Amino acid sequence: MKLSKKTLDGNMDTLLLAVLSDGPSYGYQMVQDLNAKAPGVLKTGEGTIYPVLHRLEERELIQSSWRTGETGRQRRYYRITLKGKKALADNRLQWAALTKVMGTVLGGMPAPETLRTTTCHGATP
Amino acid sequence: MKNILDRYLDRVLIYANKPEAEAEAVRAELKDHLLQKVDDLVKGGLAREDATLEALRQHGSPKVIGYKLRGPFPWIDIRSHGTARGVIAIGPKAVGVFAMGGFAMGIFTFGGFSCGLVSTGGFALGLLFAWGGFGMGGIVSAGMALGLIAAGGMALGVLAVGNPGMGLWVPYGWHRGDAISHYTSANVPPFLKSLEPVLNAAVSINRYFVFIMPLFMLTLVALQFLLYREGKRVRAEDDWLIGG
Repeated sequence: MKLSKKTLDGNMDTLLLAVLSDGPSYGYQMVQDLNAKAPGVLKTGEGTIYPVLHRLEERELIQSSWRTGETGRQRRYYRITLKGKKALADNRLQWAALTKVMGTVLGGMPAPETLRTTTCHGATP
Repeated sequence: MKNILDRYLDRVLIYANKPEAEAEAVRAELKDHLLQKVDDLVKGGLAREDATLEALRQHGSPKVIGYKLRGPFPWIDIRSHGTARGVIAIGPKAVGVFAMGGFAMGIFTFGGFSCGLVSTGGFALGLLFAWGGFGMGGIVSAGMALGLIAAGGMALGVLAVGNPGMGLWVPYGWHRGDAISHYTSANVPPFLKSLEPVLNAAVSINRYFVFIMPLFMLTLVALQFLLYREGKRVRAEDDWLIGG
C-alpha cells in the first residue's frame, strides 16, 4: 500500500525526530536510515528532508553543528533537543491514539488490546 | 564552466531565495549529500557521470526543494510558480494577509478569483466586502452581486440595488416594477431602513467606477510586473534553468 504524498509530508517531522532520537546524524545518513526502515518513504526526493530539518531547527526541536566528516568535507550534524524529545513523545501518543480510533471505527485493524500494548510501549520517550 | 551538480544547486538556491550566508550553508549541506550519494553509487558499479545524474534524480526537483526551503510564512513571498504564502503574497496562487494572484485567498485579496474578508477581482468572494465582475459576500458591489447588502448590474441580497434587483428590501425601482422587493417603503422594517446608507455607499463605489477602474488596472499591471521580474530573476542565471 503506497502512502500518499500528503500523508507523508504531514508526518515527516515525526519521522525525522524518531531517526534523530537514536543519536546525532546528518542528512544523507538520515535518508539511509529512513530508506532502510521504510523503503519509498522519500519518494518526492531525498532533498526534501532538508526543508523539514531546517524547520525543525527553527522550532528548536533539533540543533545543528558543522563538523568535518570522514570524507574531509564539512558536514552538518543534527541532534534532537529536550523539546524535540517531548514533541516526539507527544506525537507517538497521538499516533497510537489515532491508530486505535481508526482501527475501532474502520475495523479490520489490530485489536484494541494489541494497540494498548503498542501505545504504552510507544509512549516511553 | 560549472558542472551539472553545481548548476542543480544554483537552481535550488534561486528558488529558495535566501540571504547569501544562509544560501552558502544550504549549498554546502546539499553538496555534501550529493557527493556522498555519487560516491556510493559509483561504489555500486555506476560510471561517475551516470551516478551524478542518478543522484540528482533521486534528490528531487530543485524547484520543489527550493520553494520548501523558503521561510514558512515570510513578510513577502513572490513566486513565479506554485503557491505564494506570506504576509504579502504574490503568485499564480497566493495565500496571505494581502494576497494577489490568479487565485488569491486571505484577508485583503485581489485576483482573478479572490476569496477573503475584503476581496476584489474577476470573481470576488468577500466575507465583509466584495467588488468585482461577479461578487458574493457581506457588502457587495459588482457586475453581478449576491450578498447581504448588494449593489450592481444584477443584485440579489437582503438589501439590494440593481437592474434587476432582488431582495428583502430594494429601495430603488420597486415602485416601477423592475425590482422584486418583499418590503415596500411603507412597510420596510426600521433595521433595514437604517442600513440604507451602507447600500448607498456600495452604490457610490459603482458610480466612481471610472476612478476605481484605473486603480484596479494599475494594481493588475504592478502584479504582472512583479511576477515577470521574479520569472526573470529565476531565468537570469542560466537558460538551463527554464526547463523542468
